[in-house]
Amino acid sequence: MKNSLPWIVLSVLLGTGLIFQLVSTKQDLKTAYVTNAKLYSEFQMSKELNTKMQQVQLARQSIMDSLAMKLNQLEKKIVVQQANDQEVEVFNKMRNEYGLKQQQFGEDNNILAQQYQEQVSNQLNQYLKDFTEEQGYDYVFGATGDGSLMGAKDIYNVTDAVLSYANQRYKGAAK
Amino acid sequence: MINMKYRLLFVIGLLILISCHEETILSPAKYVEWVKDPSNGLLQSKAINEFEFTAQYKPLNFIVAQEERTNDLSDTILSSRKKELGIDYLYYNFRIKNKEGELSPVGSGAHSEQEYQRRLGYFTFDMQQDLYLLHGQDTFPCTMFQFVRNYDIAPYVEFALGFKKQINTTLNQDITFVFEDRILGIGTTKLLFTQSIFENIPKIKTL
Repeated sequence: MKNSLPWIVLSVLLGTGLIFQLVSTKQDLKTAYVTNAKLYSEFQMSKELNTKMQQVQLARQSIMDSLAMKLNQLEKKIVVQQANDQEVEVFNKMRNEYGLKQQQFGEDNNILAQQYQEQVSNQLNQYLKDFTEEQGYDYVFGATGDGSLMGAKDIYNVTDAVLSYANQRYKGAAK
Repeated sequence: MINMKYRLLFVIGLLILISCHEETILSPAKYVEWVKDPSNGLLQSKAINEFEFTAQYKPLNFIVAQEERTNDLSDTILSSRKKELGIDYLYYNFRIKNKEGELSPVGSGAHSEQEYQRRLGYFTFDMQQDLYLLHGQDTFPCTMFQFVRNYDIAPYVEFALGFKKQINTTLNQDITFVFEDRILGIGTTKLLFTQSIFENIPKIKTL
């Protein structure tokens, strides 16, 4: 009997440890998901930058339209052989300028769009990180529509809450 | 009759309460401490990625108290200095700190000498046009701009700023401090100073 006592104590200890381990690992993780497309499109900063982008593109387009109009006028003259040598020279110069500007504006638009996208991502990621921390989530998944999140109950969708939080933070509200 | 008695007591109580309510008056040293205390709302900050943006609103009394460095501040000195500073200006200090390293934001993430110089040029000159205050529908432009250079010995850059408000504009709405970053990849950064913050600023004790 005396010999078996240490074994009994050891068994009890091991058993208690095992139960404790099971209980602690069984704790539910707090998870949620957001719809990325909605988050990005309805984030106030995205909206502002989209408007800015459109303004820049419109301004550039108006420069191109004005150049195109002048080119058309000269081209018509050349076609009906009413243009002198000087006008032909101007036409050629302008045509080159048009091509260069078109290429330059295209590249600039792409760079600007990329910069704006990066700025939105930087801020949104930070706000999402803060939201996750403040609300005590273990994971917040992003539903991108590419199959990375195949299905989830609607109650786990926190897109609106995140949007509201991110927009408030963007407006400057303290954490 | 009893009802009348209670009403009278209530009115007397209310009058006592109103007469007991005094505006806080702080000594210059305590006033400076109060303004710098983030919990009072005149210091707002926001962290995005590795950068932390902090704006400190500086009431005129705060500026004079810091300049004079005495608790025996005379009313004459305070008034004349405030007049010089101009009541049409709102003063702020703005700091951009690199949270994740020892390099200042001029050097942090700048992978070439050219990029370093571009950032330095931006912080020294061009940044002024990207700063403004929003007060309802009004925009107060940044008309005083000073880049406080620390030659990269600290992980932050600091700016002393003055925003000109329209004459006779009373601050009766929230103020949003806006920095439209064009160099750090963060974009527009806003810091909100709610109207209540300005209403609760204590008075400064003078001789």
